[in-house]
Amino acid sequence: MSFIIDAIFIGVLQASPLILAAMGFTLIYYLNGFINFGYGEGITYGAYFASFLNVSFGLSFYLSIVPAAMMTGALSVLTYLYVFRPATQRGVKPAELIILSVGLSFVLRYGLILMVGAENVFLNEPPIAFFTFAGTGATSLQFIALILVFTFAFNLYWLIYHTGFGEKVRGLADNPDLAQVSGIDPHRVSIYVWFIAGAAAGLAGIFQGVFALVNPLMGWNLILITVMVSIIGGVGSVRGALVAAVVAGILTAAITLITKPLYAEVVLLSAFILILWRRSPRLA
Amino acid sequence: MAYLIFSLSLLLIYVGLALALHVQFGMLGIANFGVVGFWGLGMYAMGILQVQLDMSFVDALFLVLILSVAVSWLMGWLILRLDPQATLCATIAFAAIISLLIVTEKWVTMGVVGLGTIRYPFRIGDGTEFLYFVFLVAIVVGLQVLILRLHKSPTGKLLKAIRDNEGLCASLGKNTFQVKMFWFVLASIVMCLLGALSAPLNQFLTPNMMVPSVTFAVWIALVLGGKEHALGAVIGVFVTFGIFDILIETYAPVSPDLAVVVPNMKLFLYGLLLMAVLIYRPTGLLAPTTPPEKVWQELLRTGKTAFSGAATLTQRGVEKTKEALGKKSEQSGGNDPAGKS
Repeated sequence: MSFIIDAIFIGVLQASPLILAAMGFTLIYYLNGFINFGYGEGITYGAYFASFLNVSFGLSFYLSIVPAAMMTGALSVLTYLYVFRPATQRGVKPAELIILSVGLSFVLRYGLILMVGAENVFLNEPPIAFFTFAGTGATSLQFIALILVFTFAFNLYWLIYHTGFGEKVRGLADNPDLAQVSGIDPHRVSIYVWFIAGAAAGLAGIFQGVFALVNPLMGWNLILITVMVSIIGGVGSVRGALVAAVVAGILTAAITLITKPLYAEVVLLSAFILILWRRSPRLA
Repeated sequence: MAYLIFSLSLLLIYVGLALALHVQFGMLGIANFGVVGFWGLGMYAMGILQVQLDMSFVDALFLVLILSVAVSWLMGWLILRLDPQATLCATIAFAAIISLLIVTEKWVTMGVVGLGTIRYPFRIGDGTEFLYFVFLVAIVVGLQVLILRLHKSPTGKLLKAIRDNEGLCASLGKNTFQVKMFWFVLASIVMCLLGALSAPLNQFLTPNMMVPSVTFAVWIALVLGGKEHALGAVIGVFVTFGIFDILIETYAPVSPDLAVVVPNMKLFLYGLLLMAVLIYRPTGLLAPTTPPEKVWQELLRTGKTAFSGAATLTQRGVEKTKEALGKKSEQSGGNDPAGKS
């Protein structure tokens, strides 16, 4: 019994970066219809922006969260404006857009390594209080991360399902032509969505960075699981991404408690391939 | 000289991988992003069989063949009904699983410590490496000839038809799944066997050889060279791997502190190149319609176009900058307080 509680508790606490990343990722996938591997670099850049503000600039960790997330959002909008929009306008198909996004992710990642080097960076953690809850320990930082994640998730959910803006996004994703005829400007809506998604990736990177360390490969290491969780959660479903990310976190924690952490990844990736296979239509 | 032979041998391995990927993606439209998984599986299987079980090269190669048939068939069965985006994700996941297992299964792979030493299949003193290189040349030339013939054969036309409209082919009575399966498995086996053949080249295997950049290097070569042209893979590998890994890393006079930057610079430029090709010239250097005998003329023409295009862009950029600078100096010349706007 205590094993189950441990797994759930550790899983939920550690899943917070993944939850954020998956919710942002699923929005872009939903609206533009392609898997954006460059999104992973948003995670990396978020962590580096935070480390820049926090370590080089001496800003407190909590104060650097919001500006770093905004900067990542801006970066994400730039990739949309200067890479993906021109490419779609030139008629690059979704399958090739993913390859393009892998190219972009290499440019961003190795561009970052060229600029700041490949060494690990550590964020200056705020003073930490340690709690015990139902026999398991957690830090104040983890609790704050979790609260922020769920606030963000709730707002995003509200934005997509209960506001006029969300209606525009859903309209554009479901039937772009009809939405444009109705007077929705796809360009403007896309910019907002790419900004929100980028900011979510930035937040994910900041928390991933403060729980462990910041290095240029962290985004690439997280993007596969993010893509996986978003696809399993159902494309475009913010709620689905949230649930799938929590389940993946708990599963990882449970497997890690029994054996090595790397096996958790192997199990998740295998499950991913099997789920894709189960869902596939016989002919596309 | 020994290093040059090693680099050229590695280049041949990459040509082989790109040719196999050409069959999968260029001809059949299967977006296999798990190239490093198949290659690494073959390489590590070869290493394990030779070092841990002390098998001879030929016996080990035979077992790798059997293993690769099983794994490729399983992967084909799992991914071939998916749409291209899902195929891409599933194959990346496959490659990630293989590289994770190489780290975790220390008892056979030696984990991060590394596995070695792997023997060449023959040993004739100083000439071993060169002879092995000749052996690889023969294999890659053989593959290239087969692919040129495949392009002309009815089977090749069937593969391209399946890529363009699978439903139509199925309605004409072709068992498209079986055809895709056969050629996917065949190409994946080639990747595994090329992995097995690169084990003696590397001598000592470590998990950090299993990085996604390998897959990426093969993809950029194929897309740059022309994914649908029979000769695109070779041209692409020579342009990317030939220039960066052989010419620059071996011969360019780079100072030691810059030499650390070169591999990262290379991957950065690969990414940039891939993006530029996909946006501005999706067919790559060689369009699918280029006849093989006119390849050189086509390459020269593309080179000239790209060069003059870049020149025009630079010129336009210079003019714009000059104009902007001129305006600024005019504004600051007249004492306009709102000159910044």
